[in-house]
Amino acid sequence: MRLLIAEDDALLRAGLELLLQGEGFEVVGSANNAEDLLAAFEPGSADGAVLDVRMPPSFTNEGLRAALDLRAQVPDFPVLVLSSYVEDRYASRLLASGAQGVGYLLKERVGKVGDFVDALRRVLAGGTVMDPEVIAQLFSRRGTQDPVRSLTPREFQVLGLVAEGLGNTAIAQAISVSETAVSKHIGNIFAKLGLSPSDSGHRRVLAALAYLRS
Amino acid sequence: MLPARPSLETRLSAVRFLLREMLAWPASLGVLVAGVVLLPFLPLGVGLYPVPRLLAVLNLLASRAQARACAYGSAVVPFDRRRLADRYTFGELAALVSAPETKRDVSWLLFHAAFALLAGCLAAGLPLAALLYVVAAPFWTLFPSDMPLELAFPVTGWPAAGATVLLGLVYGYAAWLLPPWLARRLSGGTLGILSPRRYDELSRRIQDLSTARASALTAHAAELRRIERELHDGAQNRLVGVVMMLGLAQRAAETDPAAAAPFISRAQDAATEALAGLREAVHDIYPPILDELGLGGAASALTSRSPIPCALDAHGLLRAPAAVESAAYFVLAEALTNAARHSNASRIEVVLRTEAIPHEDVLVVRVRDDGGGGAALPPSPGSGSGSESGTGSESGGGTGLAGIARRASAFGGKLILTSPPGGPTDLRVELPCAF
Repeated sequence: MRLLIAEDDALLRAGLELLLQGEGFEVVGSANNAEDLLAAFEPGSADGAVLDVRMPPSFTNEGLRAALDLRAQVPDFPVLVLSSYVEDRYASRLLASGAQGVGYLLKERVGKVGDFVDALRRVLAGGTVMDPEVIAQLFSRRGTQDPVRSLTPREFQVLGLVAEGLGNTAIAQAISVSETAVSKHIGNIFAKLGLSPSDSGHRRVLAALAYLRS
Repeated sequence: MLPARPSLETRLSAVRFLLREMLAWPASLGVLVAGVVLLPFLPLGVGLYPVPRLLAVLNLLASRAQARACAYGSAVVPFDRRRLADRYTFGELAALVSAPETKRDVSWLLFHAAFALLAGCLAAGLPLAALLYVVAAPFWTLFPSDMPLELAFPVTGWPAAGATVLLGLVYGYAAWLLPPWLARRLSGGTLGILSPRRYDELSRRIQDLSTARASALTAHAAELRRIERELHDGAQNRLVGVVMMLGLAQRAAETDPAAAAPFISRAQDAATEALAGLREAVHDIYPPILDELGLGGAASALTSRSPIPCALDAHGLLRAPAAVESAAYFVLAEALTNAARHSNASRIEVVLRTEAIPHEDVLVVRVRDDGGGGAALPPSPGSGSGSESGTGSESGGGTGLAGIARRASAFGGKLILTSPPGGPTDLRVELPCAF
């Protein structure tokens, strides 16, 4: 898998390259700002990009805009956006560019190398990965009358994992329960939220996010 | 009630003052005439060019008259005169023309054009006439009878001569009595007309305060952003680095425990850097030493760390609000760094003092060095041109003289810098202690 990297912090960029190469990815281009990354990009030259949101010159959302730009050039080009903090509007803007191959994670998630690489693989395969913090932030905005409040802690946890793009098997492993229990939780969640259950991982995320954003 | 009898010295200084006013009179008349001539052209738009210049000249004349009157009356110049720009748009010009300052200047011009010559002539003419009458009248016999000595009237006999001498004595007495009174009237009138009314003064102060407040808010926002950046780029990114390196170490350890060691040591380095970044950020928010030792103590810690020998005088320093003390601390730190970097000085003198000026106390930070001078402020945004020498202005924006000026203006303070090429450099920052 050929990847592009954009990260302005030299240490993190080097670390990221090291990590991805160690996991069998090929880093075909790495830049310390969004413009250089876009200049280096040619359709077909890479299979995906990992971008830091905040980069020079303005240190606001250069990485996000570059990600959207890439996806404008190549529809559904897989992008994994990393950020020091979670901003649900960024998530919404990413998702608005198409549901396939989008990821938005807090930077520190790279520490759990296995999970991070799994998330990256899901994005490259066209899946959707949202940081649990995004979901938490969206939840915290909801009023007390909200059906989301009626979720049990376990169901809440499962919804977070669903939002991260995990399938039922992975969720079952993550929280050490049986797969049938997970299916039951998900059934309850969607029932409480008034959504019809579906099998596909990222469609479930989108449903959840679309509902939470409304 | 009569004022205390003036001494000869004060009488002479009154005469000097009146003579100076007389010498300044032609300029007043000139401006008045120019103004009257220009008046009909004003609505035609031609006024755009000459009016600011005329007002600038008027401004100059008025400020000089004010300075003369203040010097005569040993009064303190009560306020800063406005500064005029070179160019104005039509709207600004209209505001300028209708400003209370302009009204005061024009009133003064009329007053001065009407009375300065008269007063000066009286002050100069009376003693001369007195002298002439008294000395010349007895010599009336030397003049031929068809062309007699003409003074106040033709002197053709001893009675007329006696009357002329008497008149001369009256003039002399007037020359003795009048100047102090005239000078008081003229200087008092000048100051009375030119000094802002209480209302104007207050509205000016409100304007100043609003400006200071706006700039404080801007500076505060910039400060918050700077701290956020510092935390993000320093501590936060370093900690992500720690987590990443530990993740790599963990991954490496799964296959070969020995391979994890370099990652762990890099994680440690990153953690150390994160701590350093945090320490710096915390210090930049509020130096802990300020709380502990106060500004005087904190300043002495700074000066003792200076590579150039540094004398500190912090007598006359009162406690100020924490924000002001912290600004003063950073100003001093920045100034000392600047001096160490650019001045090649062999000695630095630092004075910290609380001074009382009208309306408020100001905390004064003064840093003088005997170095090469030539420090200049980078042009501030908005003001057109300005000379920039590399000295003191680092590209960082928040550092050097620009940083000092920014901190000072954030608190409605002032930065006064004198640093001629060849030195010495004298930097004075005034920070109001209360808004």
